[in-house]
Amino acid sequence: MARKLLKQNEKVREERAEMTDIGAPHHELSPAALNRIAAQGESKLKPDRQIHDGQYKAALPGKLIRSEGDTETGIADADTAYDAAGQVFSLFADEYGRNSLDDDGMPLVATVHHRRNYNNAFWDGKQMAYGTGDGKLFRTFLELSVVGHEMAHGVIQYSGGLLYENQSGALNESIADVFGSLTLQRGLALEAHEADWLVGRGILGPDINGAALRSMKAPGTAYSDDLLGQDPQPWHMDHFVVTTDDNGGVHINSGIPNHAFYLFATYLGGKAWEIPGRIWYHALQSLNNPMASFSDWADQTIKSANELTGNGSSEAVMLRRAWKLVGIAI
Amino acid sequence: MCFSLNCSHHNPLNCIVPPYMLRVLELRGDEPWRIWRASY
Repeated sequence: MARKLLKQNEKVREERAEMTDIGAPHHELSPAALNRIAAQGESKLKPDRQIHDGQYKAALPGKLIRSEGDTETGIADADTAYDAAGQVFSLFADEYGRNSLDDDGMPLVATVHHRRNYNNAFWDGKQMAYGTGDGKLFRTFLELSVVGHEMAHGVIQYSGGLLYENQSGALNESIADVFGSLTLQRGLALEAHEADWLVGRGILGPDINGAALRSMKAPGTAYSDDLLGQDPQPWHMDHFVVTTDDNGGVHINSGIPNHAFYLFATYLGGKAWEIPGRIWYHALQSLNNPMASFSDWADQTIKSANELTGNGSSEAVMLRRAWKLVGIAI
Repeated sequence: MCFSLNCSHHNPLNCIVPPYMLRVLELRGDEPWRIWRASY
């Protein structure tokens, strides 16, 4: 019996060694995903952007001012929204083989100048909308990581969704932050160690003491201001915030999975939108649990890492370590 | 339409700015209609 078990263990080790093949990179997507990308081809997936001017009113989507292929409007927010939507589309299409938010080529509808002095940007289930800010708290919302964040909410919705409350809501927010940050890093061609890992850098008003909305590198440090208070994001489960505010802390506790992604990406080094981004995207496509907890999500990312980079790969080991460091043991 | 700054009253909106950051508008003494206009 013991001899049989030893033989089995030996076989498992051999199989794992074949799969991990120390020294050789295992950065590839699954054969099915690769075939899909090859079949579609980078040049075949094209966005269909439709940018509207809300004319500072509440009605959506407003007046269509720039369609796909149109020349610049000269309206700064509209042209930035157009360019940024193209970059987000490209991240999902060229890196992950996804055809728009619904993976079926849906138009990218956005409204700029939504309401007057509106201090927010959102995805409403159908489209993106961007306020201008009141110039005091916020100066703009047309920033690449913000646009990536909002469009990622669309991808999440069409990938099975994550209920927008408590831990599943915080995952929804975190995954939107991850792909927002990855859009920016890819746009600037920054490797993980070069990126600032801020979401919404530079959008706070001129008199606000802060760098951004959130920091994935150091959650809880994005701003500290007399008016806004202190960034409340935790980075570890020991400091998980139990609250009914903010739909159960969806923008607060997202700091924990955000930091796990940051740790994983910086452990690996290189371009974070490649292996780490592919693993997160693959996990999102495989999750199939709108009420997922942080632990469920961590487990799914490990499964994805094993599928994409090989069972027992160094990537999977480092990912497990990243989750452990934020207090989520798998 | 309520004047609450809680996003849940206005779902399905996935806002990037959380309600606790916008609550300062209320503390600043802005009238409810102004908070609503500025935030939702």
